[in-house]
Amino acid sequence: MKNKPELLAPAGDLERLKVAFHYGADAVYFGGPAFGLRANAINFTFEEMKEAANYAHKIGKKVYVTVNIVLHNKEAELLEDYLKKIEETGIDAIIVSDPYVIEKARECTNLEIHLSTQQSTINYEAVKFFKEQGVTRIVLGRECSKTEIKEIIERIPIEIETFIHGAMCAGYSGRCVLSNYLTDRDANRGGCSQICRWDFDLLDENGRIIEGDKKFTLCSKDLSLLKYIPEMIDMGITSFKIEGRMRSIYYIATIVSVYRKVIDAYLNDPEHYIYNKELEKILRACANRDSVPQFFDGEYGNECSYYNGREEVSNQDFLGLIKSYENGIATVEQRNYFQKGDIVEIFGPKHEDITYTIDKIIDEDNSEIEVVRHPRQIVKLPIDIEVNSYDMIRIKRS
Amino acid sequence: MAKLMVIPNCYEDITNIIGHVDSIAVGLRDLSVNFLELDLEQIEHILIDIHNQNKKLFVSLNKNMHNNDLENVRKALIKFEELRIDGIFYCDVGVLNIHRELKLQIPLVWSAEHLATNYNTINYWSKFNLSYVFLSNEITKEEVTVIKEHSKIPLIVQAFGYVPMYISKRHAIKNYLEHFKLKTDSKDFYIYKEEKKYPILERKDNTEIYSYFILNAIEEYGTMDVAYILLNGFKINIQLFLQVIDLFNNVNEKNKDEFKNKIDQLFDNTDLGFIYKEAIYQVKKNEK
Repeated sequence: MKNKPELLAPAGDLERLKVAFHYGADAVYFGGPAFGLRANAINFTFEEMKEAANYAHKIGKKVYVTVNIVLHNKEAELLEDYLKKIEETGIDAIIVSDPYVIEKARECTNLEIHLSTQQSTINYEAVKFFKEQGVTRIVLGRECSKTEIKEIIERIPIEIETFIHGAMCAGYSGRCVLSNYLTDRDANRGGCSQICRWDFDLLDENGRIIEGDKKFTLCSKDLSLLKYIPEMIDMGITSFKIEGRMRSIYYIATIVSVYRKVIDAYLNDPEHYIYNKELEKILRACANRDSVPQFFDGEYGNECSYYNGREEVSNQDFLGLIKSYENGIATVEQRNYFQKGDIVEIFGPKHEDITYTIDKIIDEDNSEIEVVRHPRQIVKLPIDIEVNSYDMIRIKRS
Repeated sequence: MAKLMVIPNCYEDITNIIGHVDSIAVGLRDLSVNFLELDLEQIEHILIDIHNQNKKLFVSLNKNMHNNDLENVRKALIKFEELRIDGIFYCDVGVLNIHRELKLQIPLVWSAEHLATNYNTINYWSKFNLSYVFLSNEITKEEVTVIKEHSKIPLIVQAFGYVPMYISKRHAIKNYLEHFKLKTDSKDFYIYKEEKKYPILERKDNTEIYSYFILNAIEEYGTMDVAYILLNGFKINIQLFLQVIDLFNNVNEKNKDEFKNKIDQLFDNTDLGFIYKEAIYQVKKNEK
């Protein structure tokens, strides 16, 4: 029997947390009111942390809170009180970067401590050190190859967490302060303004532009390790992490459900497991960004760079969220424009994808309408096949 | 009064600099970033001159270490202890752990560039017998002063030169040239945006990017009572650099404003970085 890895998803808020669990995450991570690295995300209050922990524990799942900024003097003074308040919420672990947080958490709480990828831990000597300091899980730096991860796991018995999907830092985490110098926003305290996605002119020693078809950038394609999941399970990695606390519920549902399917398919029957390439297309369509294995297979040349001239478009595939289903009628919250006659797909964790043509739309006044154009508009759709709350409707792509 | 430590721009400059400073800091090739990289033989060679003049030599092993770097780190630490190198800059905790396991005595400098930002964390590291901490450049003078009051480890503060901003395992220039099938004989590169030019360079395992400006903090840090004031000579012409070193050697409370202006006149791109401004950091309030 193979070890079942944890599927760990991001949660920007309680809604996304519930979606992540609904679609198959075993655990989620989120930031609190301070000390997290996503200052622009909607972070959890202590009350919401408590609600999140209770919700998760009732269904046998876990929640982790990021306390992973690089502290300055003023923040360090507030840390003890903050950690104690986090502990009271009943969450399962904190994810830390600054070693002083490890010391403080051990001194004044019984919180379990995971070491953030922000420490860029990429070798077994560093893993050994942090294990001795009382850390129970290490989130490895994304620069590790599979050979390196294997060696770390073989040498040091400790829980290892690795990223499997999402955006990449172009530099080593913790060693990039481009954001500080170019936008006055502190990258190591949650203010990263993603300078790595900007374009620049590359100049030679004489100041002449070295000009390609697109401008120079540090931008990296996203990470996707879907096809390596069986290998990663066999390696004994404890937790598979998905990046993206600021992502939409549609993104979280799609990515989590795809990885859930692959993990379960392999664990259920490893001998006859066949990689489903169609799932790659779903991931790609959802993110609107190219993704590659990055450093995992040891190759990280120009195929990992993203010279797209910043022509990304926001994802329009997600049409609506099913809020409830009763007597053949689904109550749906609109997320993108749709209309009568659209051929759509309904997906959710409890059934195969359902293809369906929208033939009738009823608004909140019980009037039949042709088009749903208002953000978050609530409408009712007659659907013959049973669907569930938190199922999602997306445009059908042939 | 602090001692002067210098990162030279090139090997040839070292002879000219030694007589004017208290210590030189260089990197060991393939195991360092943000320092002039030298081979072991070069380090052994300059060490003789440096120690003959009763000056100190620090060597940096401060890149992010992968598993296959660890054996080289082990050998380097043992060798540098034998050579009586005066200190090792490191960033990766793996280096510290090897140093502990080998029970070495060679002094260590915690040099994680952007992470030495508060005295509590510095004092956490003091448990591991570190000799110095190289402070982050992204903190204010006020924060440096508070750290100085509370730190259990002597401090190194950069007061002059380009400032490291970015380290990546990727080869950003090589990738760009390959992707668009471009050729160039250039040895030096910059990235340019909004009238600012940032030095960028690649090493065997890394890409580094520096600030567009030359930090000139002689007024703020030139007379500060820390262990070392560090002057980074990266991309600085040796004649100008010697003038800067001379000013730092002679700075006092009365002339520091005048000396600041003198350095400003030597270069057209000086700045104070974060000495008087704090980078923005604010967690957004919950907005539903």
